[in-house]
Amino acid sequence: MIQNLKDFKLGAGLAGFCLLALFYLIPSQVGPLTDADALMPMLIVCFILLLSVVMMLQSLRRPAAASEGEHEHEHALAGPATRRSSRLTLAAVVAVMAAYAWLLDVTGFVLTSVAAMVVLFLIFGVRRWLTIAAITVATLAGLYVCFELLLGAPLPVGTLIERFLD
Amino acid sequence: MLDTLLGAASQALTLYNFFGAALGIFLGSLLGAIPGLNGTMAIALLIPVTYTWSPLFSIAMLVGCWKGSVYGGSISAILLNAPGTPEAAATTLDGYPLAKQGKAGKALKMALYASVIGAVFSDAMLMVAAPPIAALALMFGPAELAMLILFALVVVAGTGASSQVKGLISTALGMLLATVGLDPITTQHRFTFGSIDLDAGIELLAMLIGLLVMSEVLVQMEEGWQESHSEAIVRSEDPNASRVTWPELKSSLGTIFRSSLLGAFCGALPGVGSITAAFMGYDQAKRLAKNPEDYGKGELKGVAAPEAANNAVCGAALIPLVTLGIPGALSAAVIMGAFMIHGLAPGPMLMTEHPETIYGLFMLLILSDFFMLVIPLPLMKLGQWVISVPRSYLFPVILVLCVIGAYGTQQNLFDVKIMVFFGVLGYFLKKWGLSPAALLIAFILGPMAEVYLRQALKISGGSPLIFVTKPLALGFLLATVAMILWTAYHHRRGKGAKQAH
Repeated sequence: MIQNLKDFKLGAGLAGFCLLALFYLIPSQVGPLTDADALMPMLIVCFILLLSVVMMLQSLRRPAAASEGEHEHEHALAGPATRRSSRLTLAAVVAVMAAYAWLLDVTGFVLTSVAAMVVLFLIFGVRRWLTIAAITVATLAGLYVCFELLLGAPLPVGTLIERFLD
Repeated sequence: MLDTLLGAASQALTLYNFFGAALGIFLGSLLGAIPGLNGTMAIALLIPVTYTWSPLFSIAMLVGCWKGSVYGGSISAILLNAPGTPEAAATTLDGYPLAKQGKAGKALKMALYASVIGAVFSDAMLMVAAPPIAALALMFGPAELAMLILFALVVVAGTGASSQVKGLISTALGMLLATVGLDPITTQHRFTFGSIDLDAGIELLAMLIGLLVMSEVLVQMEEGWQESHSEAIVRSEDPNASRVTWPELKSSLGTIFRSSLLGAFCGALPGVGSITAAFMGYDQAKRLAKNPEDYGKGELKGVAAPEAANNAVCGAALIPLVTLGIPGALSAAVIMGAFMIHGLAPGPMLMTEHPETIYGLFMLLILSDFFMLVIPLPLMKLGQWVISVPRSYLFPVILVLCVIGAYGTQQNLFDVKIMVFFGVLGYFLKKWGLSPAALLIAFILGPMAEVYLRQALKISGGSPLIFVTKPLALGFLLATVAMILWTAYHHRRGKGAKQAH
């Protein structure tokens, strides 16, 4: 039986990725496997494939390392509600960061950053509006002075704001 | 040589550069003191700001920030029993008991003196060892360099992964990511998926900020953190309780020098790092002590030993970086990124092509050690206020700095998306027991490894025998195999011992 399911799944996933890379990604994105350009990617992918197989074989007879086990145990102790809540918070932060990255071009540095910071503070459990406002203004003013004025590196104005200003 | 040194002095010894080194020490000490932030994160966030500044000013500031953060970690380790940086973990063992006895000032000052001595020792070693190693490395051809990088990659694979196989997978993934973009020799597109943004490859700084900073915030968030609150620090009426007397310093000098030597040795070896150095330093001090039973209860040498060792890593970790282009530690890998951004390609040619800049940097490093003696002093007084900044206030600011830092260097919004992608990837890598640090170092070394490998094969007409017929290349290859076998044996023995226990 599989002793370490997590590693087995990881090994299987990596092996699948390697096969995809060998038979599709490298030929379509680099060139034939015999080309010099494809030598390094092919060598690396074969090496990862070999290691994935080793990891899958190891996971059949070796249980998770003590430190990983302790971590899992701590998570199990945390209870399903706490785990779900921390994962939801994590997903919310990733969603905010992704939206921040995509909206920066549209709504610009000031608006997007203010919105992102306020939402992030709320996600992290800060509810004092004065504190939120003070830290947000201080951070963004500091960044503006540093990049725009000191370094001469313009921060994005945003296509929407540019259109509005025109 | 004298001309080079004079030229280096005239370039480096300016008020502007002194300010850079001092600023780095200040920021590093401040950021290192805050639990949840570490030196590598601080350097990664500072690199975008240095983009338009001179290489000397920027690199002196970043190395100063690294040194400062290593010391800064000891402030919260001593006052809160919560190391501000991982390398200060060993300092808590005796630092916090000293603080509880009302000797926090004494412990902080001993940590400072030991850190400065360790840093000076390490920088002196860098100045002495780097030129001959660089001269030796100039004799290496592509075959030797390819095998040397292979050896370094195998050593680096041991950094941060939960098993040897996972470390090697992390390294290989880093090398695979390094192949994205135009082929370095034929300029053929590789894994660009038709995107112009990927033609120049994945932007190092965006990847670095995502992997090291954003992913760390995500991991700390999920694991949940406890805000650090110390018991009220006991204040002693004895004036000697807040200062280190000359007899105390004198009796600790032997321990400090031994730890500095150990730390410098660990720093010069790629992949060993300052956490190992600090614990090794502490361990040797305890084993050689006449009073080992006092360690862990507030022994001053128990603070001096790990602090000297972890600071001695910084300068020595630059030896393989400036001579061979191989970073000795994760922070050195991040600083390597700064070298590259400023047009200085680390490797055997660096000291030949930019001797004045490199010797100038050495001078500034030594000077920054003396700044370290003065600059963190006010932080000791501000101590508890600085280190108690809640992480719920800190993390939103850090995440915004990640976004603007990734955007700032090239003003390219695609880099921000890359940063977010690697932030999430870094989180999963850590969850799966893979090592973002090994991946990052392999990403930096990957292009060099590929170029040398292909050059060597071209010289030999495509025959891989070139790697075994050249004695030095064969030596590095055998060392690589020995390293893999030794690590496997070490892991197996460690596991056996744990099971028996």
